[in-house]
Amino acid sequence: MLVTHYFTIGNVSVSSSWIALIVAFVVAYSAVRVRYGKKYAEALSDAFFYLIIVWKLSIVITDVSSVIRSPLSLIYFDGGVVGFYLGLAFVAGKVLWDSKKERLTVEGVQALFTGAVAVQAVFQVMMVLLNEGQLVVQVVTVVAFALFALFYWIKGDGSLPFVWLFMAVHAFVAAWQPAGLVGTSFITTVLIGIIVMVVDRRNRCE
Amino acid sequence: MNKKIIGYAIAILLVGSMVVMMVKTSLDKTEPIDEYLIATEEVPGLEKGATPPDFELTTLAGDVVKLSDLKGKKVVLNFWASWCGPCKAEMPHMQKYYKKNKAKENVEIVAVNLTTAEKMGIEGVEKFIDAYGLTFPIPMDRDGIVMDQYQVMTIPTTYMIGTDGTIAHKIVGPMDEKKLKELVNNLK
Repeated sequence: MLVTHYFTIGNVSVSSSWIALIVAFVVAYSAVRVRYGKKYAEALSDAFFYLIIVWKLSIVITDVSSVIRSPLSLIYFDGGVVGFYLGLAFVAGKVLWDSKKERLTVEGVQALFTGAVAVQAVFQVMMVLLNEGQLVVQVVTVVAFALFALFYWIKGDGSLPFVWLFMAVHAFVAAWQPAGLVGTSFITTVLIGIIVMVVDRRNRCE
Repeated sequence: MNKKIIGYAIAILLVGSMVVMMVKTSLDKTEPIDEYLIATEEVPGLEKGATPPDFELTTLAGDVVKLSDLKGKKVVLNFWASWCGPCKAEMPHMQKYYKKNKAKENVEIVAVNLTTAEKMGIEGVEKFIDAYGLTFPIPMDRDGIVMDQYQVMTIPTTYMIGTDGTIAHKIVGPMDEKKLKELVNNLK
């Protein structure tokens, strides 16, 4: 969904995508905590924290000249889409490293995947609620993600068929949305799917 | 059993996605008449969709900038002062964006200087503009009237105005080139 709305909180304007992301994280944290316990909920919040920090600080890589000219740029700006992917790559790297070192159990991967599903589903629904868009696209987005989240909560277990289904549901929704299959959120889902598959394969080989 | 059903669901969703993509590409060519271009009654105000107050101010070079003359262009209406930290961080981004996209995006940046709030006077503003090599019009709000009309409390404050002359967004706080680009692209 496109960002069409900004909220003014205190002295700054906040993009609706930030609000959607924060709400999504709170819901995902609660869901993982209820189903998998505190340990995995904290693993999820660590991953989220790394993603945000790398995204925010990656302006050092994406726009060095601004930071040198005005160091406060670190506070005012972020690394944009490139920075977001860097953050995602960092989290993916950490998950793969933890799994290699056998610090990440099968249950841990399932918990993280459940968190990712919750973040994506709530983020998409929130973006529809906070922004303007074509009615049909909004309905498809909310219905598809709400149904999938519900189905996953009742039946889902982070096994591979559900990973594929998650990607297929998002592909279907993304096809309707303005950004299509090259939008950041769909690419994120695909990357999450790939990482889960790689870790799953590794766990099964051992 | 369960696996089989999920398999079917995945297949249906993927085929569905392809159909939607195909239909969308063929529909995109016949876009409906843009509803924003249909003349509607102007609503004065500072909210989204409202027409902001018109103003006429002079730049340091003596050029007159009148907001209503810019109708038909996308307008980035920025309010700033030379002592403001976030404005200093933002200005190079605006200049860079302006240089690259002025003609291409049918956009004008109007950076109103809050002259009544300046501590170093006109000379300080001149130095600032030279130091940052700013080429977009910088009208001087010498009486602080426009600042009041636009309810500028914190700077930088930027109003994003569409080609129909209505406000799309009010952004408080500095923007970098990426954000500016995204916001202008989404303006009608």
